[in-house]
This record gives sequence, C-alpha cells and structure tokens, in this order.
Amino acid sequence: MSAPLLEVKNLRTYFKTRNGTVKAVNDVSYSIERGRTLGIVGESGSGKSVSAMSILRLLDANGYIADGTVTFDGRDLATLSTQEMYHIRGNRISVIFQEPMTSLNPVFTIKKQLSEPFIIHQGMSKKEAAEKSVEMLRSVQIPNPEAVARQYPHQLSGGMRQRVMIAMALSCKPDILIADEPTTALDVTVQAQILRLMNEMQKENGTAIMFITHDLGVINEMADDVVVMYCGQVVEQAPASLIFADCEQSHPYTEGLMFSIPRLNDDRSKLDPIPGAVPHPLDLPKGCKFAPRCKYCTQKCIDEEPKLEKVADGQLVRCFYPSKSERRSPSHGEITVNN
Amino acid sequence: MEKLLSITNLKKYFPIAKSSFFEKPMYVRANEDISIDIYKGETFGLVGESGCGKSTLGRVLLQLYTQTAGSSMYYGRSLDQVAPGYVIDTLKNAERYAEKYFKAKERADELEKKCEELGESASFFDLQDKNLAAAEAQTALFHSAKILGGFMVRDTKKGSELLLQKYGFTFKAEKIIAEIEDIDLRIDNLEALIEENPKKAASAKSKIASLKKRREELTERKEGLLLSASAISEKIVELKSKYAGDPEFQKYESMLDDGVDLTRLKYSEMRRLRNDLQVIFQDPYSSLNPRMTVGQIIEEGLITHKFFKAGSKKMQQYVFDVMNSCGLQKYMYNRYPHQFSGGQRQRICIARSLAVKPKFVVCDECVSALDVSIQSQIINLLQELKEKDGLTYLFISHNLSVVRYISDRIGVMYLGNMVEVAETDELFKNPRHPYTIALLSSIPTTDPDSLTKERIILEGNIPSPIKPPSGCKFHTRCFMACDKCKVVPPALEEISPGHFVACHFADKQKLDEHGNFLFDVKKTTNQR
Amino acid sequence: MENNKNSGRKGFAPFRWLRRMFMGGSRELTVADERYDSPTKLAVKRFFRKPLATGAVIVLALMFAFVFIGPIFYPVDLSETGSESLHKNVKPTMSLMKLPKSLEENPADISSRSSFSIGVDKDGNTYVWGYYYTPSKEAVANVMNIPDDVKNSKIVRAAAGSDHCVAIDSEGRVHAWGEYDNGQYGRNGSMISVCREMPDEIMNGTIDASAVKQLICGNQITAILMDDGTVYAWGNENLSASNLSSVIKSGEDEGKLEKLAFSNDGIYAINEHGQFVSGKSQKFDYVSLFDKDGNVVNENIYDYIGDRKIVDIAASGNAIALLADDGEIILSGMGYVTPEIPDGDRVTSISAGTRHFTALTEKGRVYAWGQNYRNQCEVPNELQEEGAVDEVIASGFQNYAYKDGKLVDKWGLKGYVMGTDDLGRDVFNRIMNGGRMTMTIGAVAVIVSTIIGIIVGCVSGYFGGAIDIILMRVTEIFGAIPFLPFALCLSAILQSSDLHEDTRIFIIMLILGALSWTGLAKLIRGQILSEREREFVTAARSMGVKEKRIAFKHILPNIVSVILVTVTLDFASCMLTESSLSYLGFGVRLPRPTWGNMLDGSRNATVIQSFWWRWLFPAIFLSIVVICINIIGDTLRDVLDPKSEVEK
Repeated sequence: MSAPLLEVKNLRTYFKTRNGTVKAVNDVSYSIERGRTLGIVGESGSGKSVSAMSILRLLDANGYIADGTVTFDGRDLATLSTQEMYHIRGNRISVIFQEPMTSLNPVFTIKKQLSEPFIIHQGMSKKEAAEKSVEMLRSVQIPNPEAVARQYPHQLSGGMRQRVMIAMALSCKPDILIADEPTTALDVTVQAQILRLMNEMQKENGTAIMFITHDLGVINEMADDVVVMYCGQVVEQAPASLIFADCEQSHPYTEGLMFSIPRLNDDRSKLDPIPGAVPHPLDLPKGCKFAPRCKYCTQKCIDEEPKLEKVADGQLVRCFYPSKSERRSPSHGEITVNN
Repeated sequence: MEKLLSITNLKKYFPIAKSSFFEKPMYVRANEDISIDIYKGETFGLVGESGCGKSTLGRVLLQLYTQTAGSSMYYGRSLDQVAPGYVIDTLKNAERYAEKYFKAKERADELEKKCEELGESASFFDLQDKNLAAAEAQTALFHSAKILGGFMVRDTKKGSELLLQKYGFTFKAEKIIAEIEDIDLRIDNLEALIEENPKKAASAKSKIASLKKRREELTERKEGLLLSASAISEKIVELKSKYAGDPEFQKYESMLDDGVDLTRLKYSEMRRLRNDLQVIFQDPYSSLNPRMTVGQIIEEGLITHKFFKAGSKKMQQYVFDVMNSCGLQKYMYNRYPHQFSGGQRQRICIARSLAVKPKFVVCDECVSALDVSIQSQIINLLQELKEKDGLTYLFISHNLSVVRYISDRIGVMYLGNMVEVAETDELFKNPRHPYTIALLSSIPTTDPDSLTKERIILEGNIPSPIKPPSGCKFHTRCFMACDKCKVVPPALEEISPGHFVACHFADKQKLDEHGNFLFDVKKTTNQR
Repeated sequence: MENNKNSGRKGFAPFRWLRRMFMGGSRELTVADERYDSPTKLAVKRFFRKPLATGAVIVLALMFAFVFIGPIFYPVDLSETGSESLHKNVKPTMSLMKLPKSLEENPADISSRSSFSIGVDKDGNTYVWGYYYTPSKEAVANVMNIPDDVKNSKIVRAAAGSDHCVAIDSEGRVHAWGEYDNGQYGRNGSMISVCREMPDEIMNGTIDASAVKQLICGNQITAILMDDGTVYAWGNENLSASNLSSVIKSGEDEGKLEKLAFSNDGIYAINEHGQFVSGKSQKFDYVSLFDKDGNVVNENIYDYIGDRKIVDIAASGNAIALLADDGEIILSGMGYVTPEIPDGDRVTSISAGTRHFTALTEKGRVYAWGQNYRNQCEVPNELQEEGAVDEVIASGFQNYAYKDGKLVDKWGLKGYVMGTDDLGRDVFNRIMNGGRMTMTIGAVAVIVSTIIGIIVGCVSGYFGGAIDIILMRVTEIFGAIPFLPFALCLSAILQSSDLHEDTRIFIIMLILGALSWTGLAKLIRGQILSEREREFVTAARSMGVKEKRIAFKHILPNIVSVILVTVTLDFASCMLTESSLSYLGFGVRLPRPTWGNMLDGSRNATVIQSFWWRWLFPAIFLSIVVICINIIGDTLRDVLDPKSEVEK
C-alpha cells in the first residue's frame, strides 16, 4: 500500500489560557487515503475541529502545535513557509465551515468570490475565471447558475450557500476537503441534498474528505473510516462498516453514544444516556478520560490511562476492556462509580 | 381522553415592514389554518424544517405572539375560575357581536365570489384580502357562538341576559371559593406558627377564630350564589328546549364551548394563567438572565404567582425539591448561569418551568442545542417529570428520531400548514403525505442497513412564506404532484381514526410493511 | 423568619440600592456553599487583573484625592492676597530660601523684597539667590548677574529692591545693578526724567563706608542713612516713596533720623527723639483698636503713641510696625493681629518682610505675624522657646534666625513647585482647586446627562410606538444642535446678565448636561430594544412576570454595564468640554481657577515660549485625568462584554 495522502502523527495542539494550558488535541494520529472519507466524531470540546485546523495551521493566536507531525503528500507541513502554506490552503486542502454565512464575504458577489482562487492559484484571466465559476456552480447542481453568480450571499438560502461553499472548496480540485460540520446548520432534507452532492463530487474528482461532525447518522452515511474523539484523544478508530455493525469490541464511549441517541427503529422505553458531562479541559481526570462517565469503570481505569491498542483488523480502541461481552459479564472487575 | 387545548383555524401572520407608504400590506404567513386538539397527559410532537412555523405555533399557543385569527380554547381551568372579562362583554353586547359576524360573513362571501369570477387572473392581493376576510368572519363567529350558542340567532336578548346573570353568579362564587382557599392557607400558616412559636399562640388563636368565622360566612354566601346560578341554568334549559327542533339554532348551539379562549384574554388575565402554560426554549444560554442566580431564576415564577412569600424558608425548600427532581444539586442555588454547562442550563430552564406546576409545557427545540450525550439525559428527564406530574407536552423539534421517541402523536408541518397528524407508530409505519415520506427517508441513521435503502431526496428549498405557492404548498417539491395540486389546496382530512392528512392522494398507501416505496419516483440510494 | 427578613435590609438605603444595582442581589446565603461570584464581581476581578486599568484607577483615585482633599488644606485665595505682584511668572523653583553656605556662617547683611534675595558675608562676598525674570536682553538688567566689580570688591552692605540691587564696598563706592528704567541707579533709563536722581557724590564719588548707618531699598528706590543723619536717596520717588522729600526735610528740621523703612509707596522713619516720622504721608496715621465691646475704633497714631518713645520701626509693603519703649508694638495699615507677648518678656527688635513682620524678644523668642499665604509666619516651634535666637532677619518672604552669628533656622517661602502665573498666583494651588472645579462640573454635567439619557432611553425603548418616535425626534433635534456655538451663545448671554458666579457655574453644568445626553439616550434605547428580544425576557413574560418587574429586574441590570461605560467616557468628554469653554473664556471666569481657564492665560506666544509652566502643568493634569478615565472606560467595556468571558 502506498503512503497515505495525509498523515497526522502524535499531534498535540495546546492553547495557552490564563488559567493554564488547555490540551485541546493530545497525541492524536490518523491518516487519510486518496478518495476515501475519514469521519471524525466527538462532542463539543473533544478537539475534533482543532485537530483539523492544526493541519492547516489555522489556529487562534494563543494556540500552538506542541508536538507531532503532519505529513501531506510526503511533505511535513510544519516545515513549510507561510508562502508555501498559502499555496496548500484552498488549492490542495480546502475547508468548508459550519456556518456558510460567516465564511462568505457579504459585500462581494458569489462570482467574485468564486473566481478569486482561479485567479490566485491558477492564474486565469478575470473573464475565464468568471466562466469557470459559473461552471462550478452548475456542477454543484445550483439551478440557474448564471443568475446565482450575480447575487450576494444574503440573497441565498442556507443550502444554496453551503453549495456555493462546496463549489468554492472544490474549485481548485483539492486533494483533501476538510468539512467541519458542514450540514449541522441545515435542515434534514437539505442536508440529504448536500451529503449526496459531496458523495458525487468525491466520486468524480477522487477527493479525500475529512468529515467532522457530532452526528453519528451522518458519519454512517458518509465515512469509510471513523475516528471517535473524546477530550482531545482518539478513543476509537475503526472502519465505518465495523463500528456501526454490532461488532464485538468497542470503546464504552462509542457504545454509549450509539445507545444514547433515539433511533427511528427504537423500541426502548427509556434512553441510556451517558451520565455527567464532558470534563473541563483544564481539569481532566488522571486515568482514563472517560472513566468518570463510564459504566464499566474500575479502579484501574481511574488510576491508569489506557493506550490506543489494536483489537481487530483496522480497529484501535483506547480501553482496558474493549470486548463488549466481557465487560458486560459478571466476571468484569468491580465497577467503581465515582461521582 | 380529556381535551386540554383545542386550536381551531389558528392563523399567525407577521406584517412585513412596508417599503413605501402606498404599498399594500404583506405578511409572512407563519401559521395557516391550523386545527389540532391536544389531550391531557399526551406528548404532541411537532416536526418540520426550519421556517415551517412550528416554533411560532408554540408561541402563539402561549399567546406570546398575538394570534391573527382563529381560537385557542384552554380547558385546564374552568371558565368560572378564570372569570374573563370578554364573556361579560360579549353577553352584554350580544346583538352587536352577532351582527358583526353577519357583516363579516357577508364581506367574506362577496370577496370569494369576486375571486371566483376572476379565476386565474386574481391577483395576489385579491386572494390575500379574501383570505383575511374569511378568517375575520370565522373569528367573529367563534367569539360570539362559543359563548352564546344557539342564542346567537334566536332570542338573543333574553338568552344573553339569562347567561349574563348565570355567569355573574358563578364568577362571584368562584371568587369566594378562591377567598376561602386563601383563608384556609392562612389558617394553616397560623397553625404552623403556633407549633413553632408557642409564645404567639394566643394572638394566633384569636386570629384563627376570626378567620374561621369569616370562612363560614363566605361559604354561606357561596352556597346562595350557586343556588341562584342553578336556578337560572334551569331557566336557560327551559328556553333552549323551545328550539330543540330548530336546525339553525342547533347549528350554533353545537359550537357552544366551556373552555377559556386564550386569544381573547386581557394581558392581566393571561398573566394569571401563565403558570399553567409553560415553555422551555431552545437556547439555554440566552434564555437565562445572566444577572440572576439559579435560585432567583426559579423563584421568579413562584413569587409572581404567589405560591410563596418572597424570601420564605418554605419556598427555598420547595426550590430545592424542584432542583433535585431536575437533577440539580443544592449547592448550585447561589450560582449564576454562566457557571454551568449547556445541559445543566437546560435543567435550570426545566426547573424554572416546572416549579410553577404547569399543566401544559411547550418544549421548543429544547434538546437541539445540546451535545449528543446530554440530549438523552434531558429527554429522559422530561419523560420522568411528565410521568410524575402528569404533564402535557407540545414537543417541537426538527429531529424526527427524537420526536418519535418522546411523542404519542406527531404533527408534521410544512410552510405554516399542518400536513399530517397521526399517532406516532401510525405515522412511521404508514405515512401518507409525500413530505412526511421524504422527511423520513432523508434522516441519516446509524443503522448499517440504511445505506442500501432507497431514499427520496427532495429537490429545491422551502419556498418563501410571504408568497407561498398556490394550491398545495408542497407541490413545488412534491414528487407526486399533479395539476390539481397546483390549484386546489387539500384539506386536512381524517383517513383513518386519528390519522389526518392534507393531500389529494391521501388514500393511496405509500409504504409497504417493510418500508419499501409503493410508487415510482426518481429514487437514489446512498450506497457508495 | 424574622432574621431572614432583616438580613436583606442591612445598611443605609441608597447604598443598598446602589449595591443591588451594581453588584446584584445581596441576600444572605442560606445554603452552605462556597460563595460564587456574580457576573459583576467577575467583571471587577477581570478589571483589576489588567495592570494598565488598575494603574489608571490608582492614578485617578490619587487625582481625585488631590483635587478634592487637597483644597481642604490649601484653599484657593481668590482675594488680592492670592496674587503677589512681586512674584509674577516665577518659574517652578524651590531656591528662594537657599541661603549660600557662607551666609549661614557669618552673614553681614541679608535683604530681599521680591523673588530674589541678596546677602553679604563678613568677608565681603556678595551672593544673590532666588529667581528673577527680565524680558530685557541686557545682562546687567538681570539682578541675578552680579557685576564683576562687585565680585572683586569687599562689600560691606547690600540691599535688594523689587528689581534692583545696591551694594556699598569698604571703600565707600556704591554699586548697583538690575533694572534701571525707573532710575533705580545711574542716569539713563526711559523714566529717568520723573525720578529722583542719584546724588552726584554717590554716582561719581565715594562715601564713608564706616559711617553708613543704613542701606535700604524700596520697590524701585534706594536710601542710604549716614550716622550723621544725612539721607542719600534716589529712584522712582513718585511711585515708591512719595513722601521721601518731606521725610528728609523732617530729618533736617526736627531731629536727625535714626532708622528708615520703606513700604510699597512710602518711606517712614524714627528720629533721634524717638518720634515717628511719616512726612506728608497720612497712610499710617491711624491705629485700629478694639474697644471693650470688640468694635474697631480708629485712633490717631500720634495720640496713641503719646509720650512714649519709638525705639524701632519696620515696614512691610502695606503696613507699618512701631516698637514703643514700653515694649508695645504699634501697628498701622493692614489689620494684622500682633502676637501676645507673655509677661516678663518684651520685644527688643522688629523686622519686616514684604508682607509680614517678625519680632524678637528679650528672652530670645521669635514671633511673626502678617500675611501667611506663603508660610512667612510659620515660626518653627523651637524658636518660640527662650534663648533660641539672638538675631532674626525678615527679608522678603523669608526669615533667617541666627544665634551667635550662625544660622539656626529659616522659614518662609521656599519657592513654587509649579511656578506662578501672570498675577503671581501659585500654579500648584490653582491646579488643585481648578481640578476640583473642573471635575465637579464634569461630574454634575454627566449626572444630569445620565439622568435625562436614562429616562428618555428607557421610556423610548420600553414603550416603543408613538412615544418612541416622538422622543427619538426630540433626541435628534438636540443632537443636531451644534454644541460649541450653542454653548458659547448661552454662556455669553449668561455673562451679560448679572448672575452670581456660583449660579452661573451651575448653569454651565446644566447646559453641558442638557446638550450631551442624546448619545446615551440612543444607546440605552438600542440596548433595551435588543435586550427585549432576548429569550430570557420572553421567558419572564411567559412566566407571567409583570411588565414593570421585567423592565427593572430583568432588563435594567443587563444594560447597567453599558450605561456605566458610557457615563465614564462621557465624564472625560464633559471635563474636556468645560475646559474648552473656559479656555475660550466662556466657561468659569477668573479668578476662579479651572484647568480650562488656566490654559486660557496661555494664548499668547510669550507665555508659550517663556512661561511654559503656566500651560504645561494644567495641560498635563487634564490629560492624565482624561487618559485615565478613557482607559478605565475602555477596560470596563472590555470586561463587561460577555464575549470576554472566554478568556485567552
């Protein structure tokens, strides 16, 4: 197998705050291959967006990469100059954000904003770029693209704006598309349209997609591989086919997430929520980060931190008791409830 | 089952700021002709995409927005208890009210005729005028008939006089009952005081004695009032029996309603009813006053509705109990909202709403803003509290799986209209409206099988609610639309008991028992 | 229950309201709990975490203390005594009492009249210290430059006038330097024709230095009294000693003069018979006495002296003191109160500075009286003890006390920290008192504008509809009034009317307030409109909370922070506006100081170039205060912004 297109290894991204250093991303590794989709799931504060922004070196002023490497197409992104990074961003790695209104400039027309990357990165003339941008709009299935191109962002609906964002992100045929909660602000019917569009575009261009979301359903539909993050760490990494099937081994957090959301074919009279809340980033537990909320927690979990270990082909789990049947059985060690 | 709320032809139009003085008024039609009944103890789920008017409906129900037309009858309290001023006013001016209705009706008919004549060429404003006139006529009818009944057309003067007398007695009696309850409460307080502080026993005892005397007096007066009320009721029945065979009389008589019309209450009257009708908002960050402590936030309602005296120990104890039942710890009492996470804030919102012992709670997207693992905690909490206190929920959400989980019945809304109402299982097993089907099929699930399932992906966006499409509003995106759909708006009809659909093809079954589509449309799968 | 009720009612009501408004509810905590901070307290904490803002608060607090507490100890003197014509435009200096070392050891003669002093030691060296400013470019015109021939001679006597110095060397030559325009010495100068000419024998010859009894200078006049009673005098006779001729004549006719003394405009003497000689001057013909009822009765000085002999005479600028042989000090002129001399002691000599007198008693005690505006009469405590001193020299605004020929103490005016202005008023004192005025005006104006702004903004924002439209139009009309011209017009109208100065100042405050509320009103209205739409207000309404309670309990606390920021910044701008108005001469009028009208005096180039202290210090103070307030306001805005809760 050839080297993956993008490889993140032992990435640590810290934020300096007045009250201490927040370890937003703490030793995270994953890789994306050409034409595949990597789904990153996690609750707010799990570090999923920060890890993606670290790849592009688009962190807030108080954030910095403390450790780890990001290798893109054989080059370490950390060593690149700012100028080279400009070339990579938008051209080879594109991003779609959650709220399209804030990422589109409200005072320029769609055409102007769309043609900019063509002019900058590919050196086209204004006219050529304008034609190309209309073409891009058509390719994201926007009806009447010539008219839309002349409009301003506020004149478009949420779904249309997100399409424009996708068109913009895909305009330079990037190798990787980072989609940071691209459909969270959209309605389900529009979300379905956008997801379908992204799938089609991927098939057409062979773009690798890094899909960040908190919605397990969307991940199921989109991702080939899934990374589950919790408190800045990867707690489970597995192929989507494995994680959503009732597999034998998993992290209790993944299991909890699956059970806590109501499903359409759900006959439970009561949901099984994960108790408690995500710990404060400055006050993380010593042992396993999930231990205080885990229903299988033992003394060992509180004292020691488990490592991300391979439990099956392609599946990595950060837990001392990865086997579902084992930890549910009475032979599982004494369960400590520490609230 | 007992009705708690009954909404008939509810309309909510938001006027749009005119850009010029001469422009005709235009409206955002947030809710259009919505009629639903909500029963005691059930959870009514409301789903729809953003902009479909589901949140507006929730707020109009609570009269946080003034209702444009239609009636919202509330049965949680009797008319006598509320004693609203509009009843007296209607009875005093019964003839004028009836007349007003007939005039409005005349105008509505006139405009309808005009539109029919114009046919295709009728302008947007013609239709809008017609629409508004019809709504006005209907509202006038509700105002009058719900109180007068058959007397609206026969014996108006005599009937209204008798009713006025009756209500005069019963309202007064209720007032006295409330006073008696108040006295009971004071007696209880004093008795508690005697136990706590024997020194003050003497003065307290004399107070109790005088209160008891007063109580007896009031009870006597109440009996007298009720007696005269029942005497008048007999007279009314007698008068009505005269028209037993009159169809016109019976037609209006059937509209008689003993609920409280929330839309007609005065601000101060509604204010007193507010503890019955509560709301939990979507955003737990903005719905808590950042400058009040948790204790103050929860106590605000209790003080307003005079459950307790401000600052009393009893109230604090009660607040602790409520907090405890909502999963909040005692020590959070003096904290400020900014010190809590989203889930805890939502718990505070719930505690605030439930502290005033409501009968009906509108949950307006109350879990949408929360993290996945927290959502289920809140849903479970809502379920628990409902069972404990026998609450009725109107659960508004865009998340079908959540709504399915929590609701007994579900209403699906599209562009201000209710397109389908059914019991939860029925709706998911046998959806009849194309929009419901599309909605169901577009939800991403964690089910591995769903990837291979056929699905319908709707094209386009929701049209503008300012100028909604004619006919069936969904026809622009519907995969089964025909020419009829573009012209004739379908009515919400009952196709099987409890299952209402607003579609011209409502009778056609659309899914088989395995969830496969029984019709031929352009389908896609999400298989990669 | 009872306790609970009382606990919420601690403290004086207005403070309670304030506390509730700014710090949130102050109810007793009944739950055992670590006390959690209210948003307001958090904001305060965040505020004081910023070093710049904390510094600004401290500086501002010091400024406040300076301008509000300072004047209690150093009140401004708006009367004549506050200004000192002899100390016009003195630069910031503390050298006025810096006696040279050699004079501390063995002084022969010390003399001073205005801001500089001259002294001669027993070795004949001459020293001049203090400060003198002359617009003239000539070196000789500046008294601070001692001519070389004075330096090279052995000087036995020296005296200082208000702008010139005279010295007599051991050979009897009379030297003089300093200003000469009024015939202070020599025969040139623009005014020489109306002055008494310098006698020839002095100008061209010498006198017997050992026979000089007294060398004394008046304002622009000099007199030498010889042992034989001869008086040589020259200088600006008309202005500084109009009775000069008559006194000299009296000396020739009635008895030889023993001692001379110059007041501001006259010369007085005692003669060998112990009589008081005042020549033609009738200025000091009366003494003010208290009768037994405490009323003031004027009595003729000659009658009052009667048969007593006068043994000593001293004259300050506008008063004269005579020492009678029975030890009584007879005072005429200003109504100064002479000190009480204890029984068994008696005054042996008196001496006069420019505005005060000093007396030495038999037992060596020192007393001083007269004007104390520049600390001339602050006799150190130890000098009031027996035998502390055997000689006291009062000169100008200073006093030097000697014992056994050595300086033991000195007191009086050290100098001016920030100099003086064109009327000789202490700039430091005026800054202190002017600051109080400026800040008071700023504060009152801000309070007025805040009250109007809050009322209009709240009513307009909360009720909306027609009221809103009307009030906002009114606000726009007020906002459209061009501020400066309007304020100028109003002030001008007020100036022409004969209102009391205090009333006028109060009206200025009101005008400032009444013209600056519009911004605040609009801001509050906007805030209320946006707060009204917040979900917690909807929540309160759905809870059935009364409208009034929503407005005051739910909405108002949320906009208090915005009001606070604006008011703080408005305070600075009101102060600046007051200063601009006063600078242009339409605000507070002189002599009442404000920082603005202190700058007003600096509108000409001379002042800006030569008297930098007159505009620099008020400007610095004004800037510091305004900058501090702005820093505080900006920081307040930052810390009260809910977005800043996410700390970086």
